[in-house]
Amino acid sequence: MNFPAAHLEKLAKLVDSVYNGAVSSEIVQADTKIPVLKINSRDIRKVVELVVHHKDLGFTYLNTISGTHLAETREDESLDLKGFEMFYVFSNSQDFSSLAIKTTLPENNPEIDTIDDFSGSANWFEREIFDLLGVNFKNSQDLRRIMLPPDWEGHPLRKDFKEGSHYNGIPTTRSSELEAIRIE
Amino acid sequence: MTTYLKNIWEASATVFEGMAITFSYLLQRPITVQYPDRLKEPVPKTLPKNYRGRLMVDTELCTACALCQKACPIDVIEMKGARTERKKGLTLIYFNIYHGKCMYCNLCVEACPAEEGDEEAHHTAIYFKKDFEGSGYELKDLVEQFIPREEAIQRLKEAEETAAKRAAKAAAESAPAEPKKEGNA
Amino acid sequence: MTSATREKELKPRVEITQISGTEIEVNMGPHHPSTHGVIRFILFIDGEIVVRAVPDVGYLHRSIEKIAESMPYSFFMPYTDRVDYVAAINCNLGYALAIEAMGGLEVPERATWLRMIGVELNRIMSHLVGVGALPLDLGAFTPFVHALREREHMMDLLEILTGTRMNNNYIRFGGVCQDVDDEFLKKLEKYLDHFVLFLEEYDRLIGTNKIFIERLKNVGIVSGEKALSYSFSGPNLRASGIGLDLRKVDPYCFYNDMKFDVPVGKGIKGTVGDSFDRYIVRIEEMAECEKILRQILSKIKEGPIQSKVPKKLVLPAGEAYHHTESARGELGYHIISDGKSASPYRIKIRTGSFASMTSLAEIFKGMMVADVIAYFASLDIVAPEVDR
Ligand code: SF4
Ligand code: SF4
Repeated sequence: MNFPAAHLEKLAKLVDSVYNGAVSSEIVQADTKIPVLKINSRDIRKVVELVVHHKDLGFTYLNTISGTHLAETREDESLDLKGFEMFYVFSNSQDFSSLAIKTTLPENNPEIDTIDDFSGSANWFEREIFDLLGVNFKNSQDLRRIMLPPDWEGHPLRKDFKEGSHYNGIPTTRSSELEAIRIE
Repeated sequence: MTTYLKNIWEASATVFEGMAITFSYLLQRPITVQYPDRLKEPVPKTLPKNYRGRLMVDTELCTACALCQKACPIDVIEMKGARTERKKGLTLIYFNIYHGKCMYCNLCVEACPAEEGDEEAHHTAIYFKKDFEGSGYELKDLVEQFIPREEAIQRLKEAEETAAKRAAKAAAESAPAEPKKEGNA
Repeated sequence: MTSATREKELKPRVEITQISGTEIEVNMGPHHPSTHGVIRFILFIDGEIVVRAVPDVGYLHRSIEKIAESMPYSFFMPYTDRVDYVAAINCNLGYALAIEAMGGLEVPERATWLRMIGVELNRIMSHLVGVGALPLDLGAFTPFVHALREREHMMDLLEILTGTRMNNNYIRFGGVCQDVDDEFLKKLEKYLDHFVLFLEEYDRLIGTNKIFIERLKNVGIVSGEKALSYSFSGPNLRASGIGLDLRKVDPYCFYNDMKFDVPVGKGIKGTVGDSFDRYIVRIEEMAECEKILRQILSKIKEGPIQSKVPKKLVLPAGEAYHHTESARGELGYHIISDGKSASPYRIKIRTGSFASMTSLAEIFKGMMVADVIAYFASLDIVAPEVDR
C-alpha cells in the first residue's frame, strides 16, 4: 500500500524532534511505490528504534535488508558514491504500508550496527549481506557465512569479485561440449 | 480410560474413512499409463501445439541471421552464416545446439524472423519439436549438428574461397595498381 | 577444511542452552528425505528433546543475484523460474511487474488476465505439493500421490497455456509469450468443477484423520507477534492469525476487482499458529484460488497479449522494491538500475522461504525430533528459494 507522503514528512520531523537534530534524515522518493528515508549510517539503530517502536509508526515487520556495492560511478546523483548502500524495508503490521531506510557505508571496511534485536529475522538477512557483500555488522549475535562455505574467499556480490579457477581442488568452470566440435 | 479407548476408536474410524476413499480408487480405471510400451497413441500426438520439446532447425528456411544465437542467455546455440556461391544472401555454415544445456525458455524461437506455414503447421526456422525423448549416455551425445560435420567443413572452405574472391575483386576495383591482397574469412 | 574448524564455524557465538552431559549431536540432512531439497540441521538432542538447533543452508546457492548483473533484463526471466521451481510463474510475475513499474511499460488487458490464470494455477499446484508433502513426511504416502495426481492434471493445463510443465518462463515484459484459445478456457472451467470435489475429498482423506491431527496440533506454535518478528509471510503468516495478503493490501494486476477471502488460522484443532493451522490455511487458500480462477474466466476478453517493448531495454536510473504475493509469501524484487547499461546493476530477491527459515533455531528448541519434521514440513519450504 502506498505510504502517504504526509506521513513521511511527519516521520522526518519526528526523527528530528526526538533526537533534537542529532540524527539527520532526508526523504528520497527513489521509487514509485515505497518512500525512502535516507540517513547517516551511524544513526541506524536510533532510526530503526523509532520506526519500530514509536506508537504512531509501528513498522514492526522487517521485509528485507538488501545491500549493494557501488563500485562504478552512477549517473543518478544521489547514488554517485563509492561504497556500499544498505536498504532496509519495513512494513506496518496493521495496514502493511512500507517504508525503506537507506544508508551508505564507506568502501573500505564497511561497518554498521546490527539491528538483530529489533526483529527475529534480521540476523539471517544480515548474515546474507555479510556473506555475499562483506559488510560487517557490529555487535551481531551470530555473524557467520550463510550461503557459502566458511572457507570461501571473497564476497561474490562485490563488483570486483574474481572467482578462483578452483575451490578445494574442484574446478569452478566447465568447458562447453560445443567447444569440442568447433571447426574454426 | 474412556478417553484412551475413545482415542483409539477415533483414530481407527478416521483411518478407515481415508481408507474408504483409497479403496474407491481401486475400482476406478488407473490414471497411470504404462509408458512407453502400452500407449493408446504416441505421447507427442497428445501434446499441445506449442509444446516445448527438443529444439529443431529447418536449415533450408534459416537465413543465418544469428538472432537466435544472440537471444539465448546461456550460449546453447553456436552457428555461423557466410556468403558462398550456393545462394543469394547468407549460407548456413554450421548450426550446433547443445541440448544438454538448453532450458527450453523459448527466447530463441521468439527471436527468429524466418517463418513459414499456415495457421496449423506454422513454424519458425528454429522451433521446438514435440519429441522429448533425447537422453544419451555421454554429454557429447547431447550436441546436435544440424549441418553434418563434413558438409560444414566443405561449406566453410567454400565461404573462405568466396570471401577471398570478393576481396580480390574489391581490391581490383578500388585500386587496380595495388597488388592483390588475400582476404580471410 | 578440518572438521574442527567447520564445527567452530557452525556454532553460534552465544550459547542458547548450557550443554548437559547427556547431549548428543545429530546431523540431519542435507540429504534427508524430509528436508525437501538440501537443507541441513545440526540438532543437539537430550533424549528425544532438541536442546539446540543450528540450521545450515546454502547447499543450493547458485548466486542468481550475481548472474543477473551480467545479462540483459530480459535474459534473467528464465532464471526467475529457478528461484522457486514449484511456483515458477509467480516468480516471473514479480520480476516482470518490477521491471514494468521501473520502465513504465504497458501491459494489455488480456495479458494480465492470462498472467493471473498462470499465477493462480501455479499457486494451487504449489499448495498441493505443500499439503501433499506434509503427510508424506509424517509417514502417510497415499495423500501425496493424490495431491501429485491433481498437480499432474494442472501441469497438463499449464502445458497448453505456456508450452512447458515446469519452469515455464511464460511472462515477458509487457505481456506473455503466447495466447490460448477458448478451448483451453473451457477445459480449465471443467477442471475446476472437478477440483472442488477433489479438495473436499482430499480433506476427508487426511484432514480428518485423528493421527494426522494429533501429529500436527499444538506443534510448532508461532504466535502472530512471533510470526511478524520472523518476517513470515504468505500462508505461514496467515496461519498465525494475521490476515495479510499482498493481493488485498497492495493489489497488483486485477486483484482489486476479484472477490476472495483471506483465510486465517483459527486454531480449530489446537492453538492459533500451530502446524495444523498452516495445513488448513493452504487447503482453504486453494479453494479461494479456485474462486479467483472462475472470476477470471468470466471476465477474460479477446485482445492483444503483448505491448511494444524496446528490444534493448535500458531502465532509467533509480531503484525499486516491488513485492507480490507468491505461493510462499512475499516475493520482493529490489532492483537497481544505473541508467546506462542494459543489465541490472543489482537485483536482490526477497523470498518467503528464507524468512520462514529464520524461525527454525528458536522454534526447534524444546521440541521432539519427530515434531521437528512436522513443523518444518508444515512451513512448506522450497530449498532453492532459500538459497537462490
Ligand atoms: S530455448 Fe532458451 S536456452 Fe534453449 S537454445 Fe533457445 S534461448 Fe537458449
Ligand atoms: S534459426 Fe532463425 S534466428 Fe536463428 S539464424 Fe536461422 S533464421 Fe536467424
